[in-house]
Amino acid sequence: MHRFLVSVVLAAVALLASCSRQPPRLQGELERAAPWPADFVARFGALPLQHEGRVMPFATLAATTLYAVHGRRDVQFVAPAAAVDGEIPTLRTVKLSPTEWLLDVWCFPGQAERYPLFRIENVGVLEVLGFQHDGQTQGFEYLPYGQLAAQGQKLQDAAQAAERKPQPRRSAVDDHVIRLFRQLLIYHRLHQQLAALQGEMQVDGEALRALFDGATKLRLEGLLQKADAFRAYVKQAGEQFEDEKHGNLSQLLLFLSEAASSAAGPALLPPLLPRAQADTWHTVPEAIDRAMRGGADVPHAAMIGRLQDGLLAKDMKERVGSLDAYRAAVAAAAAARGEGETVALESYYYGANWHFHAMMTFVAGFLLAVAACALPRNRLLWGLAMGFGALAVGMLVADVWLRCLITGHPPITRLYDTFLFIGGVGALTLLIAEWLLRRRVALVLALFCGALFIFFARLFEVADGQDTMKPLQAVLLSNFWLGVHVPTMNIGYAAGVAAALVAMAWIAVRALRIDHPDAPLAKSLYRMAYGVTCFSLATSVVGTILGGVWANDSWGRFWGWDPKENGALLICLAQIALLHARMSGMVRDAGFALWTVVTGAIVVFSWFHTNLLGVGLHAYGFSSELLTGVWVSYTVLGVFFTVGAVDVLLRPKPAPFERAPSGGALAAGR
Amino acid sequence: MTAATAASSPVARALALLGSMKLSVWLLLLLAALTWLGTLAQVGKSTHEVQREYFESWFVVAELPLSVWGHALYLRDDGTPWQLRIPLPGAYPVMALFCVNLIVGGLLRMKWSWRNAGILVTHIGIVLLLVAGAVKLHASYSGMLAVYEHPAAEGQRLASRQYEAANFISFHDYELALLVDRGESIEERLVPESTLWAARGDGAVTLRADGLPFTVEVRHFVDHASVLPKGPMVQTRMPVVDGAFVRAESWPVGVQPKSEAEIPACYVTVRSDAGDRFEAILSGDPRVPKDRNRYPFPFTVRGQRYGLDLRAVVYDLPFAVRLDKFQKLDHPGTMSPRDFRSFVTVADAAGSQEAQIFMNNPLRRDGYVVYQTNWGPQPAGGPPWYSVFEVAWNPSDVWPAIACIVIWIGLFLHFGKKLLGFLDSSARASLNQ
Repeated sequence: MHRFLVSVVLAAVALLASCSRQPPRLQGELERAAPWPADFVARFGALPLQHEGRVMPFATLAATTLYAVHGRRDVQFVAPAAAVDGEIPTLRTVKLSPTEWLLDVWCFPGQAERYPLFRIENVGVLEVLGFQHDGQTQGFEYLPYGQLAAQGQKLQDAAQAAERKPQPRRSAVDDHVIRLFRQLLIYHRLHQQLAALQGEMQVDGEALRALFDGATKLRLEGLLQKADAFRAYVKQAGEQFEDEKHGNLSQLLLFLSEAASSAAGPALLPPLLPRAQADTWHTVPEAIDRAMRGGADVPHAAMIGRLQDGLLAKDMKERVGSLDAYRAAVAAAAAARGEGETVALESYYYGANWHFHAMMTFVAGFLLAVAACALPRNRLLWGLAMGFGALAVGMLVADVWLRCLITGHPPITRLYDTFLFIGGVGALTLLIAEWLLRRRVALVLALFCGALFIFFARLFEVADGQDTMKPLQAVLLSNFWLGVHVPTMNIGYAAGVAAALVAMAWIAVRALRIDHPDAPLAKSLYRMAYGVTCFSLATSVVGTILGGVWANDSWGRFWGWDPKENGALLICLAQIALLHARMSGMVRDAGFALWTVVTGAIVVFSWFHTNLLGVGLHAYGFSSELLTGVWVSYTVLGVFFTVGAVDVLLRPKPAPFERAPSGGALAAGR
Repeated sequence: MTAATAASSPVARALALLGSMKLSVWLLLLLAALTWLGTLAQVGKSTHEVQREYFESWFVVAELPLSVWGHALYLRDDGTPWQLRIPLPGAYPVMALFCVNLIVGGLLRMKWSWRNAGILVTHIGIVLLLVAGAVKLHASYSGMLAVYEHPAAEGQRLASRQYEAANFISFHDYELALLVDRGESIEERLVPESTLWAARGDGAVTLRADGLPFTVEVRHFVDHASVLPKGPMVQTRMPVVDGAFVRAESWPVGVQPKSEAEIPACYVTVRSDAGDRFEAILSGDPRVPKDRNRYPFPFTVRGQRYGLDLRAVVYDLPFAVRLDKFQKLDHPGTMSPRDFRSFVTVADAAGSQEAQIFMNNPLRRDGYVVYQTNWGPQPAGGPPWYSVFEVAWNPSDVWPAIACIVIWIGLFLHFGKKLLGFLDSSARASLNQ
């Protein structure tokens, strides 16, 4: 046992060490000398904007975009510290939050495009793009946008060639190239979106200058505010706009037509009409287009003006002042239409990060619970660990409840939500089991389960790189069915996972000879696995049939043998068969435990794998990381099953323990 | 729980076997295996195809693609993964036997006592669910109904467009219709698609209608076909009729097959008793709301006009559906619909009423259920809008909902009682020592 523990600790230390590798070096100098003021970052993070069908804070856009292109929660690099006269500049590590990163993309595009951003895991990709490399290493390479964009055509060709291959023929490099190209496109759109605001327009020619009050340099706001006069001027110039007397009119027109048709991104300009009238958010290119067609909105021009002042400011103070003015104008307009209400809540939600605190509380409780197992006579530790578990579940409930308030839907609308929900329900189920049968094992498992699933949720959030509160398609927009079928089904999944964890503990107790299978510890675990399985069965059966009733109302059939439906049915069938096999004496404790582990694999199949098959009506989530996670889960469950089965075959009837069981620590609960 | 009877009569023994719990376990496991294999099979086949092969059949050779971590272990030359072939009974007999097993063992032979009340109620619910499934499979049919938005002004209506419909057409099933022109009306004589299956490959089916002076011979029936002009560079072994031939289509690798999108075609030869001969290719072109009219293959025998049409099966409705208005709302700034709904007027001999049909809110009337499924023109939208409904006739429509409630009550009773018993019991006390 001890040697095993030591090797686990060593492996963990090695893993941590590999995580804390030196971040990559920034090429060139920093343009932005001072960091963004923390209070400004917090304020600007709450700027409302509309993206992918909903109004969200700037911070959410920044985070989801960064996850999608970078695959991490922050941007880290090593850069020279601000040079002091006469001294050799020292290197320092810079760490940017998503909001700071997106602010840099907006305000310091030249610096942001040198950030080491695009992760290359496979040197084969570098070969495809024609980059030099030192062979495959343990770590990842990070390419900056500027460097990658230079090879954009090569990447696009490679990605299109890879996409033409059927899925089973695609190599790891093919998948990587396809992903990298998508990431490049996302960044490219972001980079282009405010390109029209990144500089000033030159105004040449007397007549043109007179139009703009003698200005030789012009910002977009100045032009938008004189849009009507400018249109009249262009009309009067007629076909001769290239004539010398019109100065650089043709240049200006070209610039505007490009600016008006550039790639759409988040809509930054709020609707201005009163609440009762239909109106939508607008992107900057849309506003330019409208102004050039004679529909200029003065408040939009002012907002664009403040934004551009912020982008082009000389120093940080001026920049912060202008961007604050822009944010305040947008927030006021959104508030007037009641469109910013959830944005404040969402800013609080992501700032408070309750599920992260719940995870840390689960981890702390887990350590206490392990200690409680080692010190069986200590009741205080057990009580403390139970308290931490209850507190963490409470935090998780708060987190999920906030999500419900923000989206206006019941707790589960996307795959991401299932992790939080199942982690919480699984932990709660095991905590109740511990309360009923005080063996301390269920307590350890409960806290482990809670922490693990929140950890998975956070991994999934970054790997998926999508807004976790994205609006739903029409068929799912039924709060009644979302509130009845989905949670019921997921409670079934959660209990199935919890039962599998307990069964794995039973197998460990028997195979590692911690206790005799007929001793109270193993018997308690068996009772627990049985009870949790019954609970899982009841909710799975009802949840599955409810799903059918919903399908009958939306698609016109109760049952369609769709992969997700089949997955749910498989759980029910496996558990019904198990309970009947137990009742008819076909299986006893060992068979029950092994079967429950298989049911755990079926839960994983139903929960995730069916979505990854890429077919059916429920194929609403895909990522290769998820598929890896699924196979890791199968492997872990398979190892437990194999160990358990081999142990049962080799020692069908273990001899009674002679001395007090070595794992008495675990067994005694007095 | 099945009372072990000492009765030795063969009937009693057969009943005991039929109702045994071990049989239930094996049947459940078999059904689970079929469900699992039938799920994996959907990667390469259409759901409809898998449904017929695995779940509605008596026997199936299941195919298991061997893959680990999402990568096939062996690839065949054409890039498809190598599959293990496992012969199994289809889910249909397994579920039928399971239903018998459940009725015999779980209801008839079980002791009807308060102790078993929860289990009995649950078993009744499951039987109801299985029976609902069987009724649905055998007695229900469904299809689509597509109509254009009714224009306000009379003059804007186009004769070729369907604005109102009192019938719907099948998604998958085709029929061969012989049309007899009776002047005022058209008489139809129908042959179901299944009769024509014998004409696949090198087979032939000869049809003779009662009292009519000719036979119709069907050859080269192809389930998924397109009719193409025969150019000089085209090689084909199929016969060429009027410069066209039938080409069998297949789904490209990596594309999910859709049986709704498969259009059959065949060759017909009409031979009149007088020795006349007419040849044609019939193709079951999809019926879209754009076109109210069909163009059957016409021929004249003894001065009487006839037509042959290979078409999706048409079912009549006891009421007519007219689309007054179609409305689609998107999530702001996107093309993804938040809501799409049809405002319809439903009319029959008794009168008419207005209704709204949208996702999760079908119209239930006279035993038929009308669902909103699609809209057009896609992706740009209208006007002119059209709306596509699925219409289903299913006598067991609401049985699953009832079964769900029954099962919920049963499980609640049973497991609730067990939990309370356990909380009270000495078993817990002894385990908590």
